[in-house]
Amino acid sequence: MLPTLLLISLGIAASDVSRPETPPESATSAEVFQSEEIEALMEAASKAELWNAPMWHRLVRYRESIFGSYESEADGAGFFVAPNGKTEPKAELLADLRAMLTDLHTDNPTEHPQCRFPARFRWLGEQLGLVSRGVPPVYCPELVKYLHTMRPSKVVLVMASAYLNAPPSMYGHTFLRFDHADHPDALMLSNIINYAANPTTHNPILYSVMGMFGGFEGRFSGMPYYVKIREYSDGEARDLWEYELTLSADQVDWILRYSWELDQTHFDYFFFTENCSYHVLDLFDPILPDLPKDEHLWWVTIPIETIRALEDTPGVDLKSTFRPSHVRKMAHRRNRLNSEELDIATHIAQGERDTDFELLAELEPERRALVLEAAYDYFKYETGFSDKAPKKVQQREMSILRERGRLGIKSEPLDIAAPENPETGHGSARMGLVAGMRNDGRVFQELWLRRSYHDLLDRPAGFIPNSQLEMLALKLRVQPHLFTDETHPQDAILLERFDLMRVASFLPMQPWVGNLSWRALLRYGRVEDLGCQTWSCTAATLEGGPGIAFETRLFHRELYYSLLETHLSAGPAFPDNGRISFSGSAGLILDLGNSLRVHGEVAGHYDVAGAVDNQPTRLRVELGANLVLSQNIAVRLLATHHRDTQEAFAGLMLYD
Amino acid sequence: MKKLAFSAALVALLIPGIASAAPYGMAGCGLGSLVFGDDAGMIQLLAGTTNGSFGSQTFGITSGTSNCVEASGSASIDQKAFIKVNYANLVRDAAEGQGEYLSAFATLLGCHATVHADFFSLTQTQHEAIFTPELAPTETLTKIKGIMAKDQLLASQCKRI
Repeated sequence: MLPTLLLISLGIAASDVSRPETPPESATSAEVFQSEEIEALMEAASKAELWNAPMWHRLVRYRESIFGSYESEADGAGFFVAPNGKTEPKAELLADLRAMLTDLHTDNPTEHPQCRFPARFRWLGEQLGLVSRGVPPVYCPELVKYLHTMRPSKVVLVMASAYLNAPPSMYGHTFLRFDHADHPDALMLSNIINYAANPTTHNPILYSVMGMFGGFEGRFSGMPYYVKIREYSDGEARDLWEYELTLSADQVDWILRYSWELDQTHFDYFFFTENCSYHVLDLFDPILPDLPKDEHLWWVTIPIETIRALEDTPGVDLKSTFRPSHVRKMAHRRNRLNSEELDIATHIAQGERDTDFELLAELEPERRALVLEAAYDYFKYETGFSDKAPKKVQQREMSILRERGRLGIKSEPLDIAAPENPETGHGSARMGLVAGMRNDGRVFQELWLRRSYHDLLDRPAGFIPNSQLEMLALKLRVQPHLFTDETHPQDAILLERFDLMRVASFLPMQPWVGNLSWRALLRYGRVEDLGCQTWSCTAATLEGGPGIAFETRLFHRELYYSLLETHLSAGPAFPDNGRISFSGSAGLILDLGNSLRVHGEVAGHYDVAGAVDNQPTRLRVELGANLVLSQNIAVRLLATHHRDTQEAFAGLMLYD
Repeated sequence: MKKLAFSAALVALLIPGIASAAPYGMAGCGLGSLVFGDDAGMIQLLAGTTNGSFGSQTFGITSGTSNCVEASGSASIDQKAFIKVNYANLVRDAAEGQGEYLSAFATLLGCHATVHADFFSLTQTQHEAIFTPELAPTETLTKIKGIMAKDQLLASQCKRI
């Protein structure tokens, strides 16, 4: 069905092209096409003002400014035929159309606009009836090869889960997979289309700044799915969520044609807005005009929100599959072993001698197979997935696998339970309406506004466990008793805190997976322990440090952690204009069932510089609880003690 | 694959919002040179995968498209790319007598679905003979095809050996 559709729309099936007055000579159809016919078509396009059509704006990616002018998101000259095409939809359309109708027996079809812009050509063809008017098509060999090769029976949006240890990956990543009609079950061999930046520097600071503000070019590229599996699932221990879309053959044709067009250009890469997940959605623009981008992608593009936008698009159905990461598979295989077998597996994975395998002799063959499979996973976890491993490592790898091969036992496919789907998690943005009270009896209200993403008390389903990632989180405090105060009414509304970024990753220690936990924060806000409630009682703070965590399942689930942090503060709050301190903290996150989570933390601070009132030590205690009412509504309770101040809060959390 | 997360935290402290490393994504080849399936093409192969927050493959791969190769129409290039990128996983699947990589590999060799099980058996029983550390993955590919050619069933049902 699809190949026929492609062939017809490319006009290659000559019998489908009906031409009035075909001359009897052997002149080709291309030579017969007269310039009057070109002008007639140009006039038809002008009369219909096709450059105003929403589809034209979608295809050329025009965005309208508040002044009514247009600019295309595309930044490469190759995306436009008209010299001013980037800002002039009308000029671009007329230039495209004319160029598509001329030079039809070119020796260089690759460069011909019919071949460079097959989606535009298809659309113009439908608008103007180009086929029935006898417009001869240019044969585009590379495009035909591409369409024929992709030939998908299924289109799948794949999301790599978030990865906190690499800031560009903290929100996850998405790309599009095309499962081939010839072998729809060999997913590894599916082709994917990915959008990514081409960095031009390795310098961490430049990389960050340029990545955020359009300093790199982003391009579409293609590769087999197995390349991405190796990168994400093996190399980065990230799960892959595969969302199958039910699309018609016609819709798939549009996506493929449009992808070919987008390949002509680059887009300046902006990490927060025009990032990988944003441009993957480009491919759906010709077929899903109702995709609710504005509702989900306001200010920033967060990958999970692109999935939600697709879910909310009328007529779109998503069916998800879970592909566990290497680490998850390793943990699964490890958990199948008893403690003795675990010891043997550890020994084999860490050892270097062939005699290590003699430990298997006491086991039944089926158990030996399980031990070797787990040992191999752990071995790979430790040694990595590089092609350039040292000889000794390669030989050890082969030894382990050879032992497994010798057993001649066929393993069963792993059956790993999937965590909750990411799109069932709470919304990426949060607003909190909070009431509070201080130990001096004063009441206040707070407004919490957070653009993204998740903290330790928010309902955990769909997020990386025990993680915190907050960006642009604002807390405003309203002190109503100051509205009528004459001395400092300006403090009636106070910046309690503004967190540019706050991240925490607690990874419970378990056999074979012993990662450090860590926490970091960059904030401007009121210095709580000083007890003052004014704008001058504020400072900028940079803090963070490493720690460890453990997990138990005594009730439902408990996480214990301990951190050592450094705190650097500077601001008018301090007599010395700044303060440096170290802290050691211990905390517990307790799940009581699925709806209630409690978090307590105790921290001792020692101020090495800038101590206030000659008191270098102080104690901070925090106790919070989150009661889930629904996917996007929760009740938050909080009580804090810091030096001499105590505060209590109760609030309603609303997510979007 | 142990991550020293603190190094990421350090940089995160220094640079609000974003620190470096680990890929935005691979700088891959344009769509014209991605031609997999019946018509084969070579892709820009991974130099190695991430082995730490800062050892990202983005730094191991040249940016741009200079390493991309046009499609050449040869099925064997498909197979070579696959075995090079997935060698370890393939050897593991073969040792276990089944697996997604082994199955995809059989598909690339043009094996009809009915003989996949026979292919899996062959690679498991002859595991030691086939997969030796001295041979590069592409040499192992040649060896496997040679062994398959001598097996009457596989030779007849696998079209691309």
